[in-house]
Amino acid sequence: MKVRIAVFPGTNCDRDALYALKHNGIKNTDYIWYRKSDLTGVRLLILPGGFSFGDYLRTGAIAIHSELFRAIPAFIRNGGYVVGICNGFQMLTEAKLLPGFLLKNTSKKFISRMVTLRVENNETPFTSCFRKGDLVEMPIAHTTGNYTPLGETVGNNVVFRYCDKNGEVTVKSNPNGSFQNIAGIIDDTGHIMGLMPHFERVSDEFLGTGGIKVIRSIIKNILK
Amino acid sequence: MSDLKQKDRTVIEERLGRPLNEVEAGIFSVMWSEHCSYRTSKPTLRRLFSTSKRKLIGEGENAGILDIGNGYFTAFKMESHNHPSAIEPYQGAATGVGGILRDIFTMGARPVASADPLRFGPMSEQRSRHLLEEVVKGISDYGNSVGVPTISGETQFDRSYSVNCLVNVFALGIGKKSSLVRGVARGEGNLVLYFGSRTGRDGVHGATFASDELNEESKKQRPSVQIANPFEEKKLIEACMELAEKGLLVAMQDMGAAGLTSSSVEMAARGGVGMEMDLSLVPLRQDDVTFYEMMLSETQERMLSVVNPKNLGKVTAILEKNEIEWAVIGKVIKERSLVLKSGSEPVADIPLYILLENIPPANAASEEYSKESGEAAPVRSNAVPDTFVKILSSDLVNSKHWIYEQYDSRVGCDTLKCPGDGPAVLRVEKTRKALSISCLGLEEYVEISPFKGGYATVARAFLEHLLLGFEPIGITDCLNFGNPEDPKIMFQFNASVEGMNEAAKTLNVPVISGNVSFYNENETGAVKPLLEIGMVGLSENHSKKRPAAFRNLNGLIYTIELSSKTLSPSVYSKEMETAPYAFVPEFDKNKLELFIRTFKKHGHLMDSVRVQPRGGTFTGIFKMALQREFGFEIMDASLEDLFAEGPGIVIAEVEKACEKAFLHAFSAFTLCHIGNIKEKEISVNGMTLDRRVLTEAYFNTFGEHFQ
Repeated sequence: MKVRIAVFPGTNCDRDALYALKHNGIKNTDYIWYRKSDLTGVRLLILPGGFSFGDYLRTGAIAIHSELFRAIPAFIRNGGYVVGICNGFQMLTEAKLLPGFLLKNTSKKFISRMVTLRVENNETPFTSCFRKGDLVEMPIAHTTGNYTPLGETVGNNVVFRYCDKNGEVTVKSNPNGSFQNIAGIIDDTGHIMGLMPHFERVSDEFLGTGGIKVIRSIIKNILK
Repeated sequence: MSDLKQKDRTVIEERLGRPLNEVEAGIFSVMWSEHCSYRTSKPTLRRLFSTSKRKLIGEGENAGILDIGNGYFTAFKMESHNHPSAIEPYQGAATGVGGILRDIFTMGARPVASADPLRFGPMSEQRSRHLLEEVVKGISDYGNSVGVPTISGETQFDRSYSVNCLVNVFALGIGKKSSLVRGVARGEGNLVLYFGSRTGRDGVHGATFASDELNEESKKQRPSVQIANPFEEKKLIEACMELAEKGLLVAMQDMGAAGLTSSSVEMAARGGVGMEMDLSLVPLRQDDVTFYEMMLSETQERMLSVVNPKNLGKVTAILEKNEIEWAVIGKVIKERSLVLKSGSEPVADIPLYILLENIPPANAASEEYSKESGEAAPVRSNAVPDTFVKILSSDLVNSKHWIYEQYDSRVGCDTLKCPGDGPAVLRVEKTRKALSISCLGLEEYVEISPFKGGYATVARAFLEHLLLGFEPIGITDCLNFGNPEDPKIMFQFNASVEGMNEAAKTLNVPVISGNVSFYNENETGAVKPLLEIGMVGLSENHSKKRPAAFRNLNGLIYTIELSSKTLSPSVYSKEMETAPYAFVPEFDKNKLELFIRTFKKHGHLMDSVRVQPRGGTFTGIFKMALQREFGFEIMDASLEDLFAEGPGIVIAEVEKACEKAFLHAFSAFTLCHIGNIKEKEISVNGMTLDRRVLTEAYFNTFGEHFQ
């Protein structure tokens, strides 16, 4: 039951993801360079945050043409799972593996701060350790996180929404202008999740614990 | 054309016994510039206290490094990028970040934190808002891309910075001692390996540009501002980490100021060898870059290294995996000279001792002054609710989250205390060990009384770390002054550095690296002198970190005065436009030393504690109450009690049950029970203040400048 963390030139959250998984008990986890495409024995591929290929052209636009990324559809067909965090989420929408688009934040600026999220769907392999409606704190750090579906129906695909401390989904608690405060979504197969918040950065008692249940869900459902 | 001064040219040609050619003159013009040779500041800097049992390398290398135990070292340094940022703020700031990070990872340390002290003109000026917005964006885009968290900084405002803003950049790295790479070339026949970006014309004369005043001509020097490519930098970081870890390099230095020239010459000189380079092999961005431009170019994201020929294959494999261009451009030679060729054609041949030694000092004259004036007469007026709002909404005080929320402060999973207030805290590679990091400059004090100002800067920074539960282990400085040919500015420089040094010695914190930036002036005069320091502290157990936010309802609020305090200069005197006198508060050295000992023993008697921030004791108490949404009452407080500022005023929370023990333990100090922690309500001298109004004044006012 291997986990692999994709590394593209410009990826910068690969080490954070490795730390979070190992710290929470996932032993067989390592990096995979973007020029490799052999995912034999891998159950979960993580597309971590960063600025792959400098985000030149468009976020994620170059990474999706790599050998590794092109192996994803067959990997999913063979039962694999993918989670894209931040830049990884941008790759997944860019490649149309997840519906919708990620546009620039309405402020046009990079936003780095803690946000409160409401768990909208706990019937996914990535969130089953939460209860529906749970509130969790995670950091965001992005310029391009304004999720916009453009006519596609995504109601059932929403996993996390930005909300205020009381769990209310409000305009004020939406950091980047995303459609209906969407922070994370999953595809129809339930195998591919993308989210802007960095759950890997809140995975120990000193940094915060908001992301630990995502990792526990992965252990329980994907690596069992 | 080279801008080598005629006086210098005469000296050099006499020593060399022949005329210089154009390329050689260019090389001398940068190596003898103030920016590279420190010919004005060296006599003062040489006296800096730098002794530490932790010190592995001090000044003179790319950054100072300290042993932090368990096989780790830390390297940190601060630099200025003032002139480029004033002309082209986005690129100036971005390349400033890139440059300082290279100084760190060139030593085999992974850059894990950066910080940015900034100075601008008032935000009422359109130009200053533009500069700030672009500088912040430059730092944000670069730092975020390369994955180094920006975790600290400070931003202040004064009219003297309207034209010549100040952009200082601090970076810190952590490495394994076994991976340390030095910039010392050795071994005749070893190869000189160039890697990273191709060389273009950008930044030619950057070093001499930084050694002159800003004027209308400066705008024409836009080509002297370099262009940033954070993606290339990120690839370099990863490649250099792997090269260092595998011990594949003899030496490495980034091509910073004066690019290929300084990196080759300095590595050769440190190793007591020479270097021969074939300029026809240097990778170029365009074909028509001349040899002269090649030697002076400051194209970013370039590294120069020395490699044993038997390791070349392994080194280039790592570079190629990371998609980095490389070229072997020369070799280490025994003769201590810089020998440049193009194929077999000679281009330049300069003995290193003529290039680096006996550079005639500037012999700058110094004229003593003090701008202290008048008596600190008690102020009798009373504060009205509006006064509190005015202080908290002042740009000198209010929250700068509009700035630091544009910086990724958490990447790396080691940031335990984010930017906002007081030193940031970064744990060392996921262990219990942690570093505290802060930046501080007190330009008002340094201008009025340079020695006292320099002393206060170090002592106040020291207290911040101490109160947080960290032991300060080192200082890096960035000295931003006007034209040193003005004797008053030279005095300002010498005396403030003396003050900094005196405090560093007293408190036993070595100055391990630094940077000098002169000529920060324009037609309207010199900037307020900024002696900015970066201080780093160490704790073996970060869970013992002491809080600066109030913890208990009904806690008693005490102040402890280790320095005098003043209403002028202060945020109060600036915002209320009352400046009847100028007085720089001074530390009582004996009290300071006694307090340090007492605090280490009895600090646990305080539930929360901090140094008074800008804006005075009221502002300090307000900030301590903010985090857990406590209220507070302040009783019988004069205007001075509330708003006078001093670098050594400590604000502490003491539980009623511990009060007696606290009073006993700290009986040697001037203690004042100024208030109490309340549930929600905020009141001063019986007058209730609107909590919501104060909070909005503190949090929302800075961002409003940009709406």
